[in-house]
Amino acid sequence: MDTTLVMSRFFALLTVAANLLVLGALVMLVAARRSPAAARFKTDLRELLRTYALPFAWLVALTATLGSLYYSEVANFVPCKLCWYQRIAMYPLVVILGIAAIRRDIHVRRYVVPVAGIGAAIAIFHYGLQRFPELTSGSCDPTAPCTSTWVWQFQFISIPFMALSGFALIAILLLLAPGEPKPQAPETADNQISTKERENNGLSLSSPRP
Amino acid sequence: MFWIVIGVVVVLFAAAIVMTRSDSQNGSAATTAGIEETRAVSVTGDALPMFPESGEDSAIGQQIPAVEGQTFEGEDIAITSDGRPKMVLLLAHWCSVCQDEVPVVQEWIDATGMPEGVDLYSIATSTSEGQANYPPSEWLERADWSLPVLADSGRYEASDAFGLSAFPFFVFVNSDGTVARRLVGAQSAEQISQAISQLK
Repeated sequence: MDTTLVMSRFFALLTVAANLLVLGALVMLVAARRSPAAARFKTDLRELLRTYALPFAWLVALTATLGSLYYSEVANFVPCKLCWYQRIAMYPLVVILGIAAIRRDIHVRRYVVPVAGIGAAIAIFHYGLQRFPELTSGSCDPTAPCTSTWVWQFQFISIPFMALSGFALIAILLLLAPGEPKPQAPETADNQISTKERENNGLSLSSPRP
Repeated sequence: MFWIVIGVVVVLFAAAIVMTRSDSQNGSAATTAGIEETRAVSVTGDALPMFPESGEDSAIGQQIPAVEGQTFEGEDIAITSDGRPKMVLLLAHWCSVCQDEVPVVQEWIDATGMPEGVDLYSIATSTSEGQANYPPSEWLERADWSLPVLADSGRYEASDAFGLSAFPFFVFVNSDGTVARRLVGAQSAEQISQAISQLK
């Protein structure tokens, strides 16, 4: 049995899981506007994310990093130029999210989400190149062409698609997490922002700091 | 929470192993027909220099090495200086330009017949199971490909022997075994028949 194939299957299943989480989160956000039950679920989930968003996002970045290193160092797949740009966006997140997780510093998302967004944009472009390579040139480079698809699982998952899924999951986790620490007791007037307001802060990048 | 994540990861990994195992069982049933996507290749003589990105192709006038191998089905096939002019077309299954080029060449052959006095060969190289449009034998079968196909080895020895730089790759060889011309990338039927008509 080919180890690389097993690993690709495994990464593809993780990708599907990440896609389901992102899709689920988006559906929940829409449903929460209409149904009170969904709104309650959203509140509960965000409370859970207060603790777990950063470690989980760190885990996603770590998995993506180790996965890409597995492909290049163990499976000997040659990373193309666009792969490298996505790596540049993903690898630092392991360190940044790791430190943020230890410090419980959700404000790190101001730095992480734009980087993840850039990585996701490159991944989308790369995926497009793989699907429509005839748009690029009249020949195929055998060494490290960005059009070449090393991994193709379930008829839609390639390596840049995995990267896109990772970036999307990291971004949605950080954006959904509540922005402010849980209020213990209202000490200052600044802390007394309404619950409604605090919930809204979670999804906006520029959540005002009291 | 931590244990849930670990549990999910373990389940997914187990699923990946099970799925791959059942795939390879299905796969082995398909390969009983004796078709192999890569075959051993032997090269005698100096390999042609790598096709240059720009400027004069220094391979022109150089003797081609003798490349001996087998088809997907295991029949012997040799591309040698046998006194006949020839065209060798190197293809990669995952290369979209090759996927577009194969019908162009096939339609040209269907319309005009095999060119008189010239042997046409193709080489399926850069074959990689994880990549798109695998396996090449099925791809060329679907395309009703009528050229004989040499299945390159896993180390791409045949492709190295011809100095391939990109796909698709054409090598036009005179009857004395010297390279007349090499072309890279998509070629029209007119360009191919013109290059063939210039062979000595």
